[in-house]
Amino acid sequence: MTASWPTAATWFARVVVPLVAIGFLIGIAVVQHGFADPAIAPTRNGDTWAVALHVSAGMVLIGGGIGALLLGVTIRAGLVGTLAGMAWFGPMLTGLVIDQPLVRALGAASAALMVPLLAHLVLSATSPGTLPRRSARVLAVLYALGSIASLVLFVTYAPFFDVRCVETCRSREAIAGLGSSAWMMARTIAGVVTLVSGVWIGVSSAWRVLRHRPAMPGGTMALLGGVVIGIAAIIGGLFVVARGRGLETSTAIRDDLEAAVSIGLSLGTLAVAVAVLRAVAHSFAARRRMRSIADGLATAPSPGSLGSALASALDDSNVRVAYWWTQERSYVDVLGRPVDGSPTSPGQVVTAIQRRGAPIAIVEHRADIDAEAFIRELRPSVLVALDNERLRATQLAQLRELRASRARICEVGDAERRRLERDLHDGAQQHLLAIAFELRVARLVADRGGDGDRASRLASAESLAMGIVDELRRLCRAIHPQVLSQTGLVPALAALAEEAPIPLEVHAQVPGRLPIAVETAAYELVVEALDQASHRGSAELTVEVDGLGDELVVEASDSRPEPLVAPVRLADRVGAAGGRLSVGASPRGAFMRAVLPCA
Amino acid sequence: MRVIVAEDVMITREGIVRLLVEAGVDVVGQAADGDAALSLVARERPDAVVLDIRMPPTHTDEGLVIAGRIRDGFPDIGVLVLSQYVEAAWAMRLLQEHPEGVGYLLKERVMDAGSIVDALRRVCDGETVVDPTIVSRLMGRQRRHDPLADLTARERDVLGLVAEGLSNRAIAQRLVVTERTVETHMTAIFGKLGLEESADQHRRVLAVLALLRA
Repeated sequence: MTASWPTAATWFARVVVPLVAIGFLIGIAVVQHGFADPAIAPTRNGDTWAVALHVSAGMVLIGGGIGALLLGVTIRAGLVGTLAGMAWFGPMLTGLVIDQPLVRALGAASAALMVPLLAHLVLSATSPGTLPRRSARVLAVLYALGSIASLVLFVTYAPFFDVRCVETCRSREAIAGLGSSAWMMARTIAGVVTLVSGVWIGVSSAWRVLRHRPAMPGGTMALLGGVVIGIAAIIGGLFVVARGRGLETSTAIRDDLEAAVSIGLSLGTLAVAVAVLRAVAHSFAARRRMRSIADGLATAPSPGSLGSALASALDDSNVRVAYWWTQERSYVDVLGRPVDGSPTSPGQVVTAIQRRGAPIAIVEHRADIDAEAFIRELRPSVLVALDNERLRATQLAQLRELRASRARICEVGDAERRRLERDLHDGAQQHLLAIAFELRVARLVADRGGDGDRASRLASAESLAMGIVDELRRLCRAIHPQVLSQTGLVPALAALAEEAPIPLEVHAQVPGRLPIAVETAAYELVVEALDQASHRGSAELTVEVDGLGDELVVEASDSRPEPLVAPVRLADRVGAAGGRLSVGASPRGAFMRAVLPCA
Repeated sequence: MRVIVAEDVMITREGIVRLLVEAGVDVVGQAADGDAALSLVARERPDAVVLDIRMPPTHTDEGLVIAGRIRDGFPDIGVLVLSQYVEAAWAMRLLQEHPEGVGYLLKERVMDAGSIVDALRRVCDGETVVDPTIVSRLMGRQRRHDPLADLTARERDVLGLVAEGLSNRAIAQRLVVTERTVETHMTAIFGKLGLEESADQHRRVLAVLALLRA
């Protein structure tokens, strides 16, 4: 499904390498053809490789920014990246030997905002969501100071947009002098802004790299870029501030420093720009995957396939999809099991998916994935498929509830039978026995007194009472076989064999006790089969019980060919225990079989 | 013979006590549940205890548990469990865990003075007793492959009477034969059931268990 989209290595080859190459070519061309005024920027000594690197970094920066803007996946980073790219080329513009004072003034002005913009880009590329309030305030102050410096630089760089004015406007000496001192001051402010931005982004990036791994794709690379930018900006800023205060250094040191600053800034910026591009590619790939979910859908996707499709589209193997059960106002999983609607572990968040304004599902995913943006990309056909899966899941949930309800009804019935048996056994039967005991004592007394007539009347009353005791004993066993609930299936079947009208052969392999519903269903199957077999004159009934696996299989068969009948009552009992009842014929004869889950 | 009676239903307990007294048994204590029975046993040290199988709290098989605890704690005291359950499974549970000095009788057996006194004496002597009704249910069971098939009809009768707890002499009287003949039958039964040479009493219990399991 995602095979058509390039992997990390191929997008690097397809996007970053060409941008870097073009940047290098332009940079070399600029230097070789003397378009640049080596006295101005980016390095005074006009090192070709430094210029080429500078242009490359700028190309990737603008490429990433514009890419993010166009693809609309990370708009903030895109905007900041584009602006930073424009500012990046500012100093170069001033170096171009063109007689366009406006362009040169713009170039000079933009330099003051370059490092704050780069700092902003590092922040945007490494932290999801909106910026922390403190960072936003620091940025606002830096932007404000930088803008003031830019404005002043823009106005005073070339007064009245005449590049030669500083040197030639002798007639306007006062204006030029004023412009010159304002220009120097603006340069100092720009230097301070650069210095502060550098310290801030360098230290915070280093701290974040050391303290914890940034979760965004390419985050570490962007932070390392931030550290390098920070160091370069600190040196560059100090240098500018020092010059503003009249501290001149030797030309050689100055050139070396400028070259180092330029290369450092270029390398750091390149790293950040590549990280932005990578994030763009990542988002774009995810969006394509979201869109392509529809392509992978068959007309009736198998249950759960949408969940795994979403998981791979979001590139998060722990993605969990839960469907909205409108009737119960709760969530169920794909198999209809009730699940939580809130995140199940820290670091996870839940995003809702709606169709025509109605909730259909929630997706739980890593907190750093901007799932809202991706879910917007889901095509209507995917939403229909999700809604279908939701309907199936809620049907399964209803089925589950019905089954549970049937099992509960059975349980309630069984509990009632147990209570009835106890009442009969501990009540009526005990009292009847007590009467029989009483009659026997009276009879012994009558015997001793020589009252033979009375004794024989008492004896017949006693045998009547004992007849009822026997009757009640049978009734109790029929209502609830204590031998089953107390000693288990195998002894209960053995007890059944003790009084069976035909031979009952039981071959059982059962590891200890099983759920009572399962034992009861199996027992009742044998009772039923024994009843049918004896009524149709079978010679014997053979019972095979296999409870060694996850299921208990109980099969009763007699040697006659005609099938046994599966009564609805028994089917209900087996069904309530979650099992299946079947009748049929095998070479051994007719059989009645139940398969009951024991888990 | 000093006996303690444990039964939770009062009128039944009173009936049992009256019948035991009529039969000449010295009832030295009555208990309404298993714990009371155990403390009474510890205090009175009777010769035997008559226990209802169903007692509080669950009214299922407490009697079997208490019987085991009495046998474990006081090996000299015989225990007769009275029950309404006619299935052999319960008797087997009792005998398997404590094969000596225990008996399993249907509750109405207390009405037969001779049987109950005989059973009490036997459990006091460390023998085992199973209710004749249960034994005859087992003997009369419909079966195709009979583990006891090798036994002759006479030997089966003898085994049934052994299960009921009768001594060789009592069996001889019941079957109107000499005690010597009964001994011959017993030897044949042990041989056919594959019971090794061991103490006679132990083999008798094993023979009864074979019958219960069959």
